[in-house]
Order: sequence, then structure tokens, then C-alpha cells
Amino acid sequence: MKKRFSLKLILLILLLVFLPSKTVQAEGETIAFGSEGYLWNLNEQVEVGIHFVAPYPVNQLEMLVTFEDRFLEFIAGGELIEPGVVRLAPGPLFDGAYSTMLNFHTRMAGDTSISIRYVNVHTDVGINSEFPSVTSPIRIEAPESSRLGGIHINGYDLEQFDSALFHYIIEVGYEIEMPEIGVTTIDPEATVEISDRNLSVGENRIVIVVNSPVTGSAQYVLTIHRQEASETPIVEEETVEEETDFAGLTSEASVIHEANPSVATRNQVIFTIVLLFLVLVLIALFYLKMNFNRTRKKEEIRRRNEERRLERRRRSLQTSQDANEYQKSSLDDYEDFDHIEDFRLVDERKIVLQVEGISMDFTREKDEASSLKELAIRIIRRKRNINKFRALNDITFSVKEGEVIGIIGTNGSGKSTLLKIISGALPPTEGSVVVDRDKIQLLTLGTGFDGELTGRENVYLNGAIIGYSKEFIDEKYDEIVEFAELDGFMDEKVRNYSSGMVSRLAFSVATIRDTPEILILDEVLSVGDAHFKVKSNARIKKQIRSGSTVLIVSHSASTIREICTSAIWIEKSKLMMYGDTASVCAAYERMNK
Amino acid sequence: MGKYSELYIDDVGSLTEKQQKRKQYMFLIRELVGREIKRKYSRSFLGIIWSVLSPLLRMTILAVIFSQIFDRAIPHFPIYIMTGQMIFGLFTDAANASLTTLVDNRPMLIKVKFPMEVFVFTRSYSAFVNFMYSMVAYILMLVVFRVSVTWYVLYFPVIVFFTLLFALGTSFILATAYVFFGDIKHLWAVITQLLFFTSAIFWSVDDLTGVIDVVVRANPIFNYIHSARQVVMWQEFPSVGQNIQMIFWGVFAYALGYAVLRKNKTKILIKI
Repeated sequence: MKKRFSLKLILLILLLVFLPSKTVQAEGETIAFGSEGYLWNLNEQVEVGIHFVAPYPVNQLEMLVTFEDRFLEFIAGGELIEPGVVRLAPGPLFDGAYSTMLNFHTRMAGDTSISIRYVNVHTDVGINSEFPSVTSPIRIEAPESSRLGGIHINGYDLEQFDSALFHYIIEVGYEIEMPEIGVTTIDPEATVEISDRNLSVGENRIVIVVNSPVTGSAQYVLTIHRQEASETPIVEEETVEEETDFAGLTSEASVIHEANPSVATRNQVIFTIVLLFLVLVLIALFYLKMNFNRTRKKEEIRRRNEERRLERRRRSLQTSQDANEYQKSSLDDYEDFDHIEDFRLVDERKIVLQVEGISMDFTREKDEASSLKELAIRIIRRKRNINKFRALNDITFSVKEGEVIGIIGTNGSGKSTLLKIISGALPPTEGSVVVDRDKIQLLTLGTGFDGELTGRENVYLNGAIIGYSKEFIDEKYDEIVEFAELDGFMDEKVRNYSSGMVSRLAFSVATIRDTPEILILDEVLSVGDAHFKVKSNARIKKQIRSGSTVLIVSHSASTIREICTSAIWIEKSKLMMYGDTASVCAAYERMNK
Repeated sequence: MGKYSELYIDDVGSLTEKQQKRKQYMFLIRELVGREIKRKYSRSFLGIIWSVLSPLLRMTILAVIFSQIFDRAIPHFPIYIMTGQMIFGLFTDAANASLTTLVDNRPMLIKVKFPMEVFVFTRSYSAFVNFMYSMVAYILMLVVFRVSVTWYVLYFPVIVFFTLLFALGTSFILATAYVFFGDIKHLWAVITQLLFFTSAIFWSVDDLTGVIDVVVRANPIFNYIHSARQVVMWQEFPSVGQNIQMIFWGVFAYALGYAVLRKNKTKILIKI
């Protein structure tokens, strides 16, 4: 507030001291306003003095005083012949001098002016009307609440804005045809009118009128120079404009910062360039990728054919012997098992797995609430139909080191649940499992395999999931590939593999590890074609033979008989029998009949 | 409840074993994240470049549209939008992906023994990796729009860290809830929408008053976004209140989420 006041003071002093004379003198006549400039407030009575002096007598003086009707309301002192024009016609003037006062009421704040035009001096000699017009600038100060708080052009603040100054000169680039002009008012109730914003090349005048319901209106003017097309659109320098309307007084005020609107334009240009660049990159990459894909597809087809050929050859070599060989090999294994069994008959072995009174309940709601709404309704109605389903009922057994245990039972009898509990995936409802969990390994094939990844990536992913360290996979990688017979296919996506290839790879990864101390198998795994089946069976058996404790789940008695040292029969969630393989399997088969 | 006890006491010190385990989990998470990202872009031509491209394009769309709608534009509007979007994207990407993670990974959860937090970590970490790729675009834009960055920007990683912590906590809760109620997915979509509009991503909070002002300022994501803008664009340090809010939401959400998941672990296994 203080600052603004001092500004006014300076303006006033400047006004009084430095103003060049506005007096018109022709053949000795003087026509002048009482003051070289006026500084008024809004809504007050003001007076304008008009002085005429001629060195000869005048029969009749006639002059028109023009002013902007919007700013000033004429009250008295002359004849209002039309809005904004007052006629003065005194005479005769014997001493040639005339002075009068015009009374006005200020009705809108802003910069305006008042002029004396069309002076006719009637003398005895004739009529002299050769007078240039005289103009005096007027500034009507706006009360605080009629003022603007700020002006933004295309989103940029007008930096030189001062709410006490009403005129700004701005230069913009050619490409701005219609600037966005935003304003803020000090009085929130005030309304603002902005005149037509279309810019033609050259000078344009945009008028902003603030209407405050309390204190009245104020007018701000933006003079916008729109550059010509040829001129470079990017300008950031400040253009200093001399404002002469208010007798040079306001030149300080109208030193206008340009540039801001063109910053916006520059951003747009950059935007476009970046976008274009992106699109170009996109197209280039697209093209490259297409090319790359084409060559890769060709290669793939070539490889496929090669593999098919190899496979065919291998098959033709083996089909004749396969059946016999397979039989023979499993027979061999069987014999081997006998030896192992003999070896293992020496007891005194540690108990490695102790299952004590395990029960497992699943609570199932009869028709489950699968949505919040349903649940809410059910809770409110207290109608939650909970069904307890007992998957395992008080199972107790223990496994000694080196034993190969077969868990047998019909489908749905709880075998898999038991395995999950032992391996630690599920906590039991009752009872406990005593085991070193780090030594347990559930052999699963292809957990987490992803068709979108390459063979190599899947080896690492699957390996990580089943607990291999990175170093271990690095070390064993070649061995895995070799065993799976997938050399040359590892950098292809698994989705392009045949199902046999996938299972070979999965098997190879899962069984590459050193045999764990406790191995759990859900069904004996043998995968792939006849040729690979032999290989995979041999590997599983090697693992079983290598002295670890093994738990195998199966519903086929023959498998159990073939491999296991003892067996557990679970039926309808209960432990039916636990003992040597032969008798358990016999009992199981008897029941099934 | 059943319990497990160890029959053998290992000769190896338990500390090194723990480290071993942690190392294994880190390896696993890295592999899983690799899978997520490769899968996300597996059928696209540009692949990972989309992570850089899509924030740029989204920013462009928002910037173009909203600079037309709002007459009072915000300085450096594209950067303003992009900052908001990146932080918001980090949060929603993590939360949306984590929502279904336990259900998606059902087979692994049952067959293999490792903590189920791993799956949530994986999805959130994927979102974070994506975020880091977007940073390339972000830095590019900072250069293009000549945002003068000062040393305040060093605080940016801290803000991102707490955003991630908040996202993780939310993810834990969402993933747990989704196991029991599929509806959460749809409900969450609506909440995400709400968060998007109350996070001041494309508009300024300066003119807000009343209820909406309170709502926006209480929105933790807005707080993260606002702080990020302060340190990157405005060379300001987040106020003490903001810092407290930031840390509180991050730590609180994480602790709560972790507790929720832990508590429901058994139930989740049975339900799945």
C-alpha cells in the first residue's frame, strides 16, 4: 500500500515538474487546460479549467471539448451536445481572454484524456479556426477492490503488472492469433469483461474492464503488437516501449516484458519435435524388429526340420529295441533294489521324519461366499454354513534314514495333503511333523515355467524357484541342457517347444541337484518319449538308490512294489496300514477288488 | 496349530544359513521380476522401450488436453504432470499387480516352500523397475523443458522409497484380501480412480477450498507427489509436516500390511 502511494506521489511530482507545455500558440492565441495532466480518484467531483487568451478582441469564441464518456460524466460548465462532447460558446470577449471551469464526475477508473478541438474564433476580420487540438491526459485511480490482481497471457504472468497502472504494451510472435488472457481480481465479487482477442498483424488493443459491485469499474488496456510472419518467432528479449499517452509519465509503467507468450510457443515447438522424434524411433524400431523376426523365423523353421529329422532317425533306430530295452532296464533296476534292500536291512538307523498325530481340517462353506456382498448378507443373517471337511485324521508314522516309503491310497484319500504337510506347504490343524525342513525336497516339474521366456531363462527361473543358487545353475547349466537334449534350442521361447521338449527340460532341471536327504515324489516321474523315459527312469532310480530317504505317493500298487522298502496305506483320511511293501500292497489290492 | 521343529542341529552357524537363504530369495525375486518384465512385453515389438515411451505419451496427452481446458496454466505443466504421473504410476502399478499375485502364483505357493511375501515383493519390485525405466524419459523431459534442478533433487530417492514402502504395505493388504474376495479387484479399480482424481496430477491445489482441499491434502499419494514436485521443480524442501506424513504412511502401511499377511498366512494356504 505504501509503495503504491509513494508511486502516486512520484507521478504527481513528475507531472508538475517535467511535463512539456501543452499550450497551443498560433498568432498569439493561447488555448490551454488548467493543468498539464490530471490525477483523480474514482467517483468524485472534478473540475477542468479551460483558458483562452487572444491579444485581440473576440466577437465570439466557439470550442468543443471532447472526453471519453465512459470515464467521465459531464455535470456542468457548458452545453453537452452529444455524449462526450461539450460545446463552449462564450462571447463577445473584449479583452480576448476567457476562462471557465467544467465539472465532471469520474465514473470509471483508467487512463483517458480530454481534448479541446474545433476552436473557432470569430473576430471582426473573420473566422479563425486554424488551431490544433489540445489534449491533457487523465488518470483516474481505481480503488483497491476495482483493481486487477494480475494478468496472465497464455499462462504466463505479466511480469511488469502493477495494479495501479492501466496500460501495458506487449509484443508477441506471429503465430499467436488469439492469446489466452486470464485475469485475477482483488475483489472476488468483481466481474471482468475482455474485449475481442483476435489479433491482426501489427498493433491491437485489448480492453479489460473490471466491474466491482461496490466500488465501480476500472479499465485496463493491453496494446499487443503481433509480429509479421517473416520475423523470427522466438524472442525473449525485453522490449522497452515508450508510452506517450500519459505524457511520457507512464513510460516506466509500460516497460513491458514480452517473451512469456513466446516461451509457450517454444514449448509447443519442442513438444512437436519430441513427439516426431518418438514416432520416428518407433517406426525405425518396428522396421528393425520385423526384419529381425523374419530372419529368426527362417532359422527356426530350419532348426525345426533338423530336429524332426534327427528325431525320426533316432526313433527308427530305437523303436525296435525300445520296448525290450525298457523292460530289461527296469528289470535290472529291480534287481538292484533287492541288493539295496539287503544292505538296508541292517537297522540302527536314525529317524529322519516323524509324523505325530496329524489331522487336517478344511473349513468349506457349503456354497462359499465369493463376494463381499454375499458375506455381509450371510453374517447379518448368521447363516454361514460352514462345513468341516477332515482330509487327514490322526496320522502317525516315522521314517528312518534311507527308507523308501510308498504312500498308497485311492484318489482323494488325502495323500497329496499329507505330502504338502510334510513338505511344509501346509500347516496341519493338529499334530506335528518333526523333520529338518531344509533337507526335504519335493520334486516338482516345471514349477513357474513360462512359455514367453526362452529355455535358458526358464532354467534359471525354475532353478531359483526350486531353490538352486545362481552359482549352482551356472555350473550345471551345460549338464542340464545336455541331459534334456535341447542343445541349440535354449534361446528359443518355450512356447515354441513341443510338450515333450518342455517336460524333458523340466525334468532335467529338477533332477540335476545332488540327491537331497529326504526326497518326496508325487507319482514317479518319467517323461518324454520312450527313449527319454528310459533315461529319466534311470536318473530317478539313481537318486533313490543314492542312499537318501524317499517318500513316493502313488495310487498304483505295482509302482510301489517295484521301488519301495515299506508302504503306508491311507484311505478316507485314515491311516489303514503301515508295514512292509508286500503285505500293504496286497491289502490295498484286496480292498480295491 | 501344528508346529515344526528341527530334529538336527546344524553344524553350520545359523547366521550364515540365514544369509544363504536371503541370498537365495534375492536371486529368486530377481528371476521372478525378470519373468514379469519379459512377459509384460513379450508380444510387443518395442519391448522394454514401452516403459520409457508410455509415460512420455501419457504425459503428452494429459498436457495437451488439460492445457486446453484450464485457462490458468501451471508453469512447466508437462513436468508437473509427469512427476505426478510417475509417482502415482509407481503406486498403482505395484498395487494392481500385487492384487492378484497370490492367486496367480497358486501352484508355486503350494508346491515350493518360500515365504509368500516374495510374490508381493516381486510384483512391487517389477513396478519399481518399470519406474526406473520411466526415469529415463523423466530426465530427458527435465532437460528438454530446462527445469533447473538443484541439489534438492537428492531428496527425490527418499520420497520414492517411502512411496514404494506405502505401495508395498497396500499391496500386502490387497493381495491378502483378494484371496478371500474377488470383489476387491473391482472395488480397488474404483478406489484407484478416486485416488487419481484427488492426487492433483493435472491440476493445481492452490485454489482449493473446503472439503475437497482437506481430502486432497489427506491423500498420502498427493503428499508424495507434492513433495516430489517440490524437490524437483520448485527447489523447496518438504515441510516437517509433510515429512512426518510421508514417513508415517510408508511405515504404517508396510507394518499393517505385513502383519495382515502374516496373520492370514495359514488361512491363505488353506483357501488357495
